[in-house]
Amino acid sequence: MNRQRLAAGLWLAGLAAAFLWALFETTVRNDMTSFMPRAATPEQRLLMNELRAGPVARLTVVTLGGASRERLAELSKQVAARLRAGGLFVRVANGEQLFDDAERERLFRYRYLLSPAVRAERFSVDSLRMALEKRLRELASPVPSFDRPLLAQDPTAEMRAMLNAWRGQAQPRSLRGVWFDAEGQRVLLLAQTRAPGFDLDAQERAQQAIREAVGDGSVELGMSGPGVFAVTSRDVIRADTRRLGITAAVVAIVILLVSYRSMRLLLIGALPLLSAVAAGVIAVDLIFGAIHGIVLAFGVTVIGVAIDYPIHLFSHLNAGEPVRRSLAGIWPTIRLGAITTAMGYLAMSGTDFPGLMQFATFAIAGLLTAAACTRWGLAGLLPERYVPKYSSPIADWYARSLRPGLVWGGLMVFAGVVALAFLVSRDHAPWEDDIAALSPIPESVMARDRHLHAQLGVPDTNHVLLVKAPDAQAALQASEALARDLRQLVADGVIGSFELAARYLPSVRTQRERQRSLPEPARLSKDLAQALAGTPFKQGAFAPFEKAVATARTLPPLLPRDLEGTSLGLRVRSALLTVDGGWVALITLAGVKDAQALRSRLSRHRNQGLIYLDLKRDTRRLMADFREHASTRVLWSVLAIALVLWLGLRSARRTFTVLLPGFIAVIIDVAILRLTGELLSLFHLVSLLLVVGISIDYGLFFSRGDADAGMRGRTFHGLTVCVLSTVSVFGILATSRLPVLNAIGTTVAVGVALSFLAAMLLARPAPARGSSQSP
Amino acid sequence: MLVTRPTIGSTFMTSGEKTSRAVGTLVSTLCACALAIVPSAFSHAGSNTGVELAELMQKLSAVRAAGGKFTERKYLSILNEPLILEGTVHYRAPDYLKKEYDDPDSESYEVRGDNLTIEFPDGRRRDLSIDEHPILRAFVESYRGTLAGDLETLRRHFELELGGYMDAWQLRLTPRTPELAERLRAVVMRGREGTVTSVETLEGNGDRSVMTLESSSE
Repeated sequence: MNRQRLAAGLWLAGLAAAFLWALFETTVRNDMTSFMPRAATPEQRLLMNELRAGPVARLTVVTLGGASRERLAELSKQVAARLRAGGLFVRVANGEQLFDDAERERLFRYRYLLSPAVRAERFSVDSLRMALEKRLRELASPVPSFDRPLLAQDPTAEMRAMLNAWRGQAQPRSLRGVWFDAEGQRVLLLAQTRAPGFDLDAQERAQQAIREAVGDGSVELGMSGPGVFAVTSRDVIRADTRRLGITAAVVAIVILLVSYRSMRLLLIGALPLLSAVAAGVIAVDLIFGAIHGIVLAFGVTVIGVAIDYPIHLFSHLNAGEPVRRSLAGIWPTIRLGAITTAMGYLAMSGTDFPGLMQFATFAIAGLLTAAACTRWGLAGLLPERYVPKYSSPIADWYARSLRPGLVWGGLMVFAGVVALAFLVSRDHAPWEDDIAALSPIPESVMARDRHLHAQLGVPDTNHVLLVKAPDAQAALQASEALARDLRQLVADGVIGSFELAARYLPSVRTQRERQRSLPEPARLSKDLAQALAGTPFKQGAFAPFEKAVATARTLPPLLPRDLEGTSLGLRVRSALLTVDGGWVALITLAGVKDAQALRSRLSRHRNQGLIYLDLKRDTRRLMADFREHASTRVLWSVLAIALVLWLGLRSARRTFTVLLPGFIAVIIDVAILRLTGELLSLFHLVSLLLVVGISIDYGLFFSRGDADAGMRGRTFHGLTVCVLSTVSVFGILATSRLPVLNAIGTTVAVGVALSFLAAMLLARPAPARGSSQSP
Repeated sequence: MLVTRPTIGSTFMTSGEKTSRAVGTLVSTLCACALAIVPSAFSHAGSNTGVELAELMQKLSAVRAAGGKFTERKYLSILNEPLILEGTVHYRAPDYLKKEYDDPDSESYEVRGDNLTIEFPDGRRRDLSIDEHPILRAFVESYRGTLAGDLETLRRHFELELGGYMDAWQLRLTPRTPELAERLRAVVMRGREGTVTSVETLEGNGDRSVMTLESSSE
């Protein structure tokens, strides 16, 4: 008796300490990276890092709409100027001059080294005359070309050829000197943060700076991009964790109050639950160094399961016996239920998915703690010979009259068979392996983002070629060789377009080749004079052109470091990376139509350091591998659970009765999910495991074979409270905007309700002999 | 239907023509003389007593459609001789403009609202916005705004300076923004009553073009 009081006191003190620790020592993380599989190969790791920290991950597309074009164009310029001055962004592009005057001047000077059109034939008499005729035609046009003032220096329009080649296919619409969307309704700005994409606080500050720079509340401001999505995800996770946690707690309290109408039982019943949460948080924090917000939200729902243990105890308290004895009577059943549920999670904890491992750890620590607290802590807190007051007409009716006969049980089994037949008949694979489906960002928002990125010519990073080389020049040369094949692939329609550093900055070798193809001054002078004959152009009008070509012949080739800090340099650097002392040219492909053909056509480059990554397919495969791996583990763990049950019950028949409701519930649950069009992810799998665990619990209690009708009524009442609280808590989870929590919530709520029904109809009491000792 | 009124020539010469290019002046003057055919002009007696902007705009806006053959001469420093282009223009109030060249190898240009459609000789079409290049909008608005008598639009883009008389007026449009002024020094519209007879474009680099219209009422 005193020992029990002491234990309860120690427990309460420990619980208080644990909560303080959890409150002050635990780190909560909210980014989505815990919910991505780990990269398998060094190349994937490189790419994942690039995706998380690289220039593309630092891009935010800003759209402004809802005002006149004139006002929007003006605002675009103001916002860009404010953001550039603010220092949080390395680059803010809005379609105003792409290059500043100094950069433009240098590019113009280097046009004969950078323009892909430069070849010896370009300066023959015929080519020159053709160019002059073209220019004459342009002079006649009422629509002036931007390079008209450069005509005397650049009659072959080399600057234009260079800029056109850089622009590629995608290019936003330019109206009133700034970028507009294709409809001409919104201005587009592209802002690149100084901070990396995964620094969510910095990303949030950057987004706040954008909001402040716009200032005008009447303008429709839109922001899109990896950083924006990361911050939005975090906010959703935070808000959902708080909302779901509070709602779940309130619902649990209400259910307990209504069921037992006792403040005392409520307070006592809450203690194992709080202990479970504290233990879960601390265990995850100790093992992983931090806890993810989603895991925390999920952990709160462990309450929905843990609440069963004190309820079982309350409903088995007997007027005629001390609490200790009632506890000893049901403990084997609670223990068996807790152990089998925990075993299901154990299967998950050995996997390679940080988020799932945290889930499993939280659940195991929480459930075992709740069970242990119920066993050793509650006895000291409940008064002797205390019987909770309750009245439940349904329970009484069940205890007295309902005898689940063969008909009802048969119907349940029949429903399971129909569901199974339905599942087998679906030939479409039920698995969702797309990692994007885990993100709380709606697909429509993602699609809009892709659309904006395409308009702005931001490369999509799903198909990437990597060329490894010992130095920058070798990487550029290798990608130039590759570009020849890629151009052919574009022409053949295998890919839509490609983007690489060498497009902006050719290798030194190529620049030298172009220099060599430039004619000597005397020769150019002679050929030009010949080309001019018979045209209305004045002799000598193109002396600046002759001078420019002569200068270009002796320019030192442009190197990557010459471009540091310029907007062109940024483009080059985002596609030319240094990795482990070596260099990697990153070539992004867009509009890939035939990955197979692409792979085989590029095979000859493979031994020259080329790697083709199909990120979407690769992560899909990673997810699928992982899911298969996890499924195998789940199957084994179900077998292990059956074994443990059999050892605990020492009856094959009762083991079967206890397990059967769970199996039927899982099959019908999956069938219902499939009927609603849901694809199954890993998180559904975890949830089904939880359903099996809970259903075993129900099976055990329904099949206990309670001695009298009163006890049967109380057991039934207890189980009703259990199922109500569990279904409500997981039903609350199902309202989350996070697909992960939504999946878990729906699956468990439906599965648990089915389990209860199946267990009630199928788990018949064991034959009366020695029923009080049987768990 | 063409009626020439040689006596107007002198009025033109006195109305602030500043260019030193005698040839150009002569050509544009002669063409302008050959143009004025709006019947109402004959009956208008008080046309020699100066011109008010509001009154001119009102007269211009009263014309719902105009058009006819044009001759355009571009005097470019890089060329030995002016480029001479001939064709037809059409205007319909409030914002439709079309320019076609007689040369079958030339594109034609059609403006509706803010959209410019270029039709190539092979039938291809390209749509773009006149906002794609500031100078393009300036060109379109100067001409179309004058034809429409749209004072507000003109003032939004240009400083206006009006001289001459109602039957020989000259409206000088100077871009408001320095960036634009770098490319386009001014556009000088000349006309008679509600009819524009010539458009002279003075570019930032000293190049110049004069389009003279041989108008016919549509």
